Parts: sequence; structure tokens; C-alpha cells
Amino acid sequence: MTTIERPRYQVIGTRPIRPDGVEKVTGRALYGADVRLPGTIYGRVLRSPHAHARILRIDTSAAERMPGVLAVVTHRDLPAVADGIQNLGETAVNVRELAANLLADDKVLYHGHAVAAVAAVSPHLAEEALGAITVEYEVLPPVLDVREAMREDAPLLDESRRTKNIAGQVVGERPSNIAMHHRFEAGDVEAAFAKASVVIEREFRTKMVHQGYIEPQNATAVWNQDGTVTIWTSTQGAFAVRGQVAELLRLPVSKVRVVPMEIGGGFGGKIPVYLEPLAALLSRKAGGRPVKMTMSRTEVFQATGPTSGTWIRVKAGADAEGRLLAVEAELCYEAGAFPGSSVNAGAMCMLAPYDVENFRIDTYDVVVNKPKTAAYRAPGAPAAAFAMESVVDELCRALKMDPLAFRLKNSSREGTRQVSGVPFPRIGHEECVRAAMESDHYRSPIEGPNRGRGVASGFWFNGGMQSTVLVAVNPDGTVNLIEGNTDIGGTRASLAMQLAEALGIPYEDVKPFVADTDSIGHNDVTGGSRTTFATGLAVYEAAMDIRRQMVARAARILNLPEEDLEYVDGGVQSKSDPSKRIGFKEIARQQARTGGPITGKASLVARGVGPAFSTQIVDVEVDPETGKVTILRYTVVQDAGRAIHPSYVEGQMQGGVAQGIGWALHEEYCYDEQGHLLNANFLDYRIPTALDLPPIETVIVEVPNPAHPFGVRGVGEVSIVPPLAAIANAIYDAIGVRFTDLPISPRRIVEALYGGKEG
Amino acid sequence: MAKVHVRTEINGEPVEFLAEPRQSLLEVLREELGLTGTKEGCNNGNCGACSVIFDGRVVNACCVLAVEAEGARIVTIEGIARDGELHPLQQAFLEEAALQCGICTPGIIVAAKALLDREPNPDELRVRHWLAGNLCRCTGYDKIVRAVLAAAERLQAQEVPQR
Amino acid sequence: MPTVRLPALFRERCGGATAVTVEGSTLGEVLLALDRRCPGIFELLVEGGSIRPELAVAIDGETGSYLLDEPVPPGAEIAILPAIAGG
Ligand code: FES
Ligand code: FES
Repeated sequence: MTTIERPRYQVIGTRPIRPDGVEKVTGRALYGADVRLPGTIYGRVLRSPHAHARILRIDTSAAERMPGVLAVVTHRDLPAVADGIQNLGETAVNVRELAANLLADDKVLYHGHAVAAVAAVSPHLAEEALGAITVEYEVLPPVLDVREAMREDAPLLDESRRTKNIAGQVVGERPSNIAMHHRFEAGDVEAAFAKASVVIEREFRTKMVHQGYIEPQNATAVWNQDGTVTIWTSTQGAFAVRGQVAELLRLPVSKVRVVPMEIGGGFGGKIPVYLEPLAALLSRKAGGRPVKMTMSRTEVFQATGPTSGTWIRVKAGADAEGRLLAVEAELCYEAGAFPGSSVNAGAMCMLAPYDVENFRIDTYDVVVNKPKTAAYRAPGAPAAAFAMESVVDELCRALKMDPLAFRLKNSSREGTRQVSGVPFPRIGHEECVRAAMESDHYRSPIEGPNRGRGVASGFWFNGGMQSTVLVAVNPDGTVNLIEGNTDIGGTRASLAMQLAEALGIPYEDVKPFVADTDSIGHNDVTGGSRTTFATGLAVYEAAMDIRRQMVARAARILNLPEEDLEYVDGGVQSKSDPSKRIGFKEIARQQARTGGPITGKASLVARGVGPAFSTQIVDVEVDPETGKVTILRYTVVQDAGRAIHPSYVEGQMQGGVAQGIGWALHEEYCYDEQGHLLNANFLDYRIPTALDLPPIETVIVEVPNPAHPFGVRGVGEVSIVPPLAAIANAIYDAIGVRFTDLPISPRRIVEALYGGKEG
Repeated sequence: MAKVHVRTEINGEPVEFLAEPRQSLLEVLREELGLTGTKEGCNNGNCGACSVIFDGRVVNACCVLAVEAEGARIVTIEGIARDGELHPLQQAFLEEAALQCGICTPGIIVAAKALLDREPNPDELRVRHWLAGNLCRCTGYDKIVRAVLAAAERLQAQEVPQR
Repeated sequence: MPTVRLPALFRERCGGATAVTVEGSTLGEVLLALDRRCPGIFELLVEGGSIRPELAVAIDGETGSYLLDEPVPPGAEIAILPAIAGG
């Protein structure tokens, strides 16, 4: 790929104000829950009080008779959906299972599983109507823990389920909760362990945690009289919603229009649909009235997206010189009620920072009576890195080796084979480790009782996939940038900046606009750290399209042959006589007379994804009285490839770290023995507050991605991968206790120090 | 349910509305009055997305009944910018990139304004303490805290010439 | 000739080989040639004329959802891996 010959960028690397900023700081920006249509009625969902039960009977007649109740739906109202996998770009979803998760079929599989939905003239009335629905259950014993669920005598969520391999071929004979088993293997693990002078083997457990976006799921839908459906919602992917809704309601995609509203956080959790198809079905039954649905916070915790609880065993060996020789691991991930955890991604991430030739990693995707997991920021990677990076820390201690020196010595680099067998392109792990070693933080001593320092590295693939953009030149020389990726954290800015840079025009002259699914070609989700990279590539191509047209228009205006003209610095000039020049604005002004509107477009599948690494340093202090862990100092080093808008890159780095700190220290799904979720609110499920966190220092490393014209890799996810282990390693350094279970809550610390119990 | 007639003042303007006794101030602001800048994150007082200034104090609008607004003076995010001019807090949030998704932003700006109204010169710890009831899942708070401190500085610089 | 690297649990079909070198100038040709060496593997990887959605294929390090007519350069390295999702 050619890059613009520009030694220094004009726009890239600056920190302008985001285009949607004023609307968002004044409260005018419209999020999904802010949609207000005339004649709106309100939908609510009835949810299962049991973790595992057979539905014997549902009687909705009393609710239907209530005045003001306009529609009730159950699983029977979902068009029969045959088994089929639909590729959502991000997540392959089994549509039958998606339907059964949307509204329970013959069984409820977790506490909070949707059973019926009601629409009424007020939200309060809809709530009351839920109470008028009778459901008879035959309660079954639940299975809540991944290791329990793997036992042969465990209660089965689905008697017909057999273990399959990654190609979907049945490999187990007996019914099982293990939905998938896979193995990554290379070299001779046993022989390598025999050569090792240090071998460490540990087992780790992490609990289900939630993405914790502050905006609950929402959707407003209208089933129009002409048979089309319009949906307004906060989603990471309007096209993903369109595809899922069309599939679930058996409509052609062209009959479904999805209008993406502003979105209040997603982190992977706003890719699957939960409310959209229900709102549409309720609207149809209610004669086409708009139906608005929003989830309560409790529903968000009970029924949307957590990431897997895990059990992981890691055994790793190194020689006396500190070479990592071999790794053996077993990864067991809770998928929730339906298969599809990110266990394989975890396996493919855990060894990515290292060049290790001998490994065997077995992965198990296991169903349990808890909500179906969804993607959560670098899905699958944090738990696996927690295990691996903790074991590496122990290896370093046994070898008396600096943990960053160990990582540098064993670092993966361009050409190193990943566990999948695929060689790395140019990557920046070594650069991250070096930058961490040279940071002020790492060079400053850590002193004092009960204080300690930990480090860890992490990896994420980043994503490519499909993007489309349209660019229209206005007569005043500004440009409209029409795109299809919802803006969760500054992508309007990062895309507008790339367009401004590629066209050589001021950033303020670019007006980005996020279009609905009827107004632009397909765009995959804002997720997988892909948007600034992949949609950025499309923006660059569209800019080249505009530049070519600008040259042609300039030829007419200047009366020069096109071959003599080139596009330079926001204008077109003669190669032979650069004084003959015309600026972008002037060409734009004359477009009506030189051939009509100038518009550019690009649609592509982005190739050349640049993977991301992060290395992090944390200092903690543990209060042995209360078990409270205070984060004294935190530094996140990350390879961005190229930071388009450094402030928003830093923001992604800090945000991922904050989530990782919560995961390490406080956050967990707590269940009783019957499988009731006990802490489905923000008081008992503690995400970090401003008081829990220190200023998070950022070091942006830029190892440009050679496949992107500006070097972009993608920055959204990898920062959440290292914190779990970095913090556990720091706590070990502080108090000499190795915690292998998360979260490392004050209770666990006090127990470990005084209760005679290890972590 | 019989509705109650409520007279109140919102963002300096007299407002009257009818509310059911069970309706929260948040619900009336958003659903009846169209003031959707105040956000709902939890509806039970744990996230601060619904922060409004109520007779000079920050409250969670989801934990106030609409009928309690009788005779009160309420400021919501829609009332923070004045005469087409952004408040220095809003300007600082833009410049410091203190928002990602922006759903927590209205509540945090409202809460921060209440802080700066009474304590024009808070230090970092004070800001963190004050905002501990306003959850943000995107930013890690670093840039939010910086923005509040920057706004405080700017407000103080503005005060001087006025005197 | 292109080389296909096999996931661990598919290797038993290929006499335990970790990688197999076969003829072919498109992905489909390569996988059919592979199937002659390792019977049954084509059906494992391909469903209804395309690579199964649970799987991803990397050609010379570039992971993607390829059609079977995707050209494969001579000497290319092909890997088969589980598809992954981002957040
Ligand atoms: S919505 Fe009121 S505190 Fe969360
Ligand atoms: S910016 Fe998203 S929650 Fe604060």
C-alpha cells in the first residue's frame, strides 16, 4: 500500500475537539432511550425466577384482558427459526439459540431468562401486566460452575448436546455440557519440560464479570403498515442488528431498517440483540404502535452479556538462562446458557507475547445455568493472560530474573508463529517492553511495607472486516463523511481526521455523519478495535477517489491536461509549473459547472490487520487490617501503530485498565446455590469509582502497521488484558501471597493473611 | 392513579406538570418534559447518570419523586450552558477529551458544577471524592478529573476581571 | 506448492502430520488435494461450498473469510484456525 509522502502530518497526532462533542456535553445528543415517537407504548419483559426449569404452562390471558395492555408475546410468537449459523461479522450466532435466548422455549436456563413480553400504554402498566402472567415451572437442579458442569454426572442444560470440534463435528458420544473441545499443539512439550530447570504449574479461577456500560439496552420499534420494520436502538452494529432481527423474524434484510442512536458504552455487549425483535413483535401485535423498551439495571446484569467465568491450568518451564521452553495449559470457559465462549481466543492470546516452540493448549467451551456470555473487550484474553502472566512472574522469581527482561528475552516478533500456526506480521511487543523498562515509573523505586510492584503483557488480534464510507463535497469546500459505524468513543473524530489528512483540508471542514442501514452500504460493528483501522482504510480510499475527481475538475478549470496535474496539499497544481494551482475550496465551488457533484466512496474488506500489545506496570499497597488494595501508581504502555487522536487513544488505554482493575479487585457475579444472581445492581456489583483509581499514566508506542496508510493498528481492547495479572503480581510482591482466584477482594486477602487459607 | 399538579422551576423557567405520585423526577423530566439530557443508568441511586441540581444540592433524579419538585428550583444539563455559551466545564470536557460514549457526561458535568459553585478551588482528591457517586465505565476518570480541575482554574481566572 | 498447517485435532486424519504440502492454485483446489491425502478433511472444513463460519483460514498470515476460489500463491502457507470475535 502506498502512503502519502508527507514527512509530517497536519492533522494526525493533533487533539481537536470531537465533532459530536458539543451535543454530548449539553445533553442534546440522542441516545436510544431518548427516542420519543408519537403514540409510543412501552414494553416490559417477564423473566424467569429460576436458574433451570422446564416451562409447563404459560397463561397470558389475564394480562391480555387488562385495559391499556395492547400486546403480549411469548416464544410461540417468534417465527419458527431453523438451526442455522448467521455470520454477524463478529460473532457467529446460532439463530435457534439466539431465539431461545430471546424468549425461552421449553426450558429456562438462567435466572432472568426472558419468558414473555408485554406492551402497554405506560411503563408502569406494562410492569403490572407482567404480574398477571402465570407461568408454571418444573424446577430442575442448576449447574453453575464450569468444572462442575464438565462432570459426567452434572445436570444437563440440553440432553441432545454432544461435544463438537471446531468444525462442528460431533466428537463425544455421551450428552455433555462441554459444547466444544479444541487443542493447539506444536513441538515436543514433554521433552522440553525435561530440559527445563524451573517448572511452575498452577490453577486459576475467574468469575463471570459484566461489561458494565452505564447505558442499559434499549430499543424502539415500529412495524409499519407496509410490512417493513424500523428500529431505533443503541448498538455497536446497526447492520448486525438488522441481520439478527431479519433472521429471527424471517424477514428479508431489506424490510428492516435500523437507525443507530448514540450509544452509552458497549465493550462487546451491545452486539447481540435482546430487545429489538421483541419490540418489533409487540408493535405488530399492537397494530403498528411504536413500542419502546428499556432494560432496568437488574435486567442488564441478569440477562445480557457477561464474560465467562473460567478455570485455567497452566504449566510452564524455562531453562536456567531464562528461555521459555514449554507451556501446557487447559482452558475451561463458561459459555453461559448457550455455547460460544471466547475460549479459543484466550488460547490464541495467552502465549502471543512469547516465542515458545513447545506448547499444548486444550480448550473447553462449557454451558452453565448463567446468562449467555457476550464479547467483552478482547474477549477471552484477560483470564488467559491472568493465568499465563502470573506463572511467568513465578518463573522470573525462581530464576531471579527481572520480569521485563524475561519478557524481552522471550518476546515474539515479526515472523514468530502464533499458536494457530500463523506467523506474526510486524508487531510491537519488544518496543512496549522496552518503553516500560525505560519509563519513569519502572525506574522509580517502590519502597515501604505492604507495597509491591507487578508487571504483565497482553495481546489482542484487532479486527478488519467490512466497511463502507461515502464522501460528498459541499459547494463551500467542506465535506460530508457518511459512515455506518456508531461512535462509542471518538471514531467520528478519528475518521474525520484521516479524511482531512488525506485530502489536505482542515479537520473542521469534515462533517461526519453516522447513517442508518438504508442509507449506506454494509458496515461491520464498531468493535474488535477495527473502526479507526478498517473504516479508516475506507476513508483513505474514498479520499483518493475524491482526489482523482478533483484533478479532473482542475484540468477543466485550468485548461491543462490531467497528466500534467497532481494533487498536493489540499489543491491541484501543474507538475511543470506549480504556480498554476487551484485550491480544494475553489474546485468545490465550481463543481456544478465542471461536471456536477463531487462524491467519493469506498467499500472494502480490510486486510492487513495490525495486532496490538500492551505492557503494564502497577504499584499497590495492601492494608493488612482491612484487606483493601490501593493502586498507588499505574502505567499502561501500548502499541497504537499510529495514534490518530492521542487523547482518545489514551482514553482507550485508561478505560481498559480501569475495567481490568475492577475485574482484578472487586467485580464478580455472585450466585446462591439455586443459581439466583445476588448482586444485580451497581451497589453490590462494584465497578471502580473515581476514588478507587489513581491517575493512569499512558505511554503510546508507535510501531506503524505497514498495511495502513497512516500506520493504524487499533487501540480499543488490548489494555484490558494485562491488569489482572499485573495486579496479582504486585500483590504477591507486596505481601508474599500468590492469588490464583479473582477477584482479589478484601475478604480474600484477610482470609489469606489470617485465615490460614491460601488465596 | 390520580395525577398531582406540580409547579416548579427548571433551568430558570417556570414549569407545571401533572405527575402520578409513583413517578420519579427522572421519569417526568425525560418522558413528560422531554428533557432527555438527564440519563438513566440504574434507576436506584447508584450511578449518578441522572444527577440534577435541586435547590442547590446534587441529587439523583431517579431517587426523587416528581411531586417533591413542588416549589423547587431545578437545574439539569440543559440549563448549564447559558446564552449560547458553553459553561467552562463543558468546554474543558471537550478539550480534555473527558468523554468517550458520553452517557455519564451530563450527570458528571452537573455534579461538578455543584461542586465548583460551592468550592471554586478543589484539589484532585476532593474532585475524586465528590464524583465518587458518578460512575463512568469508559474513561477511567483520569481525563474527567483533569477537565474539572481545568474548568475550576478557568472559572477562577474569569472571576478576577469581573470584580 | 502450498503448505497447509493443520490444527492438532485434525492431524490424526493425516497420519499425525502437522503440515501437508499439496498442489493447487485456489483455496478449493488445495483443500481438495489435501482431502486426497487426508480423507474426509474437505467435508470437515467446507459446508455448502464455503468454509464453515466457525473456522477461519489464514493465507500467508492474512486471516479472512475466503471463498474457495481465492487464489493461493505457489509456496503459500495456509493455516486453519477457530474464528474469533472482538468486543
Ligand atoms: S439513574 Fe439515578 S443514580 Fe443511576
Ligand atoms: S464516557 Fe462512557 S460512561 Fe463515561
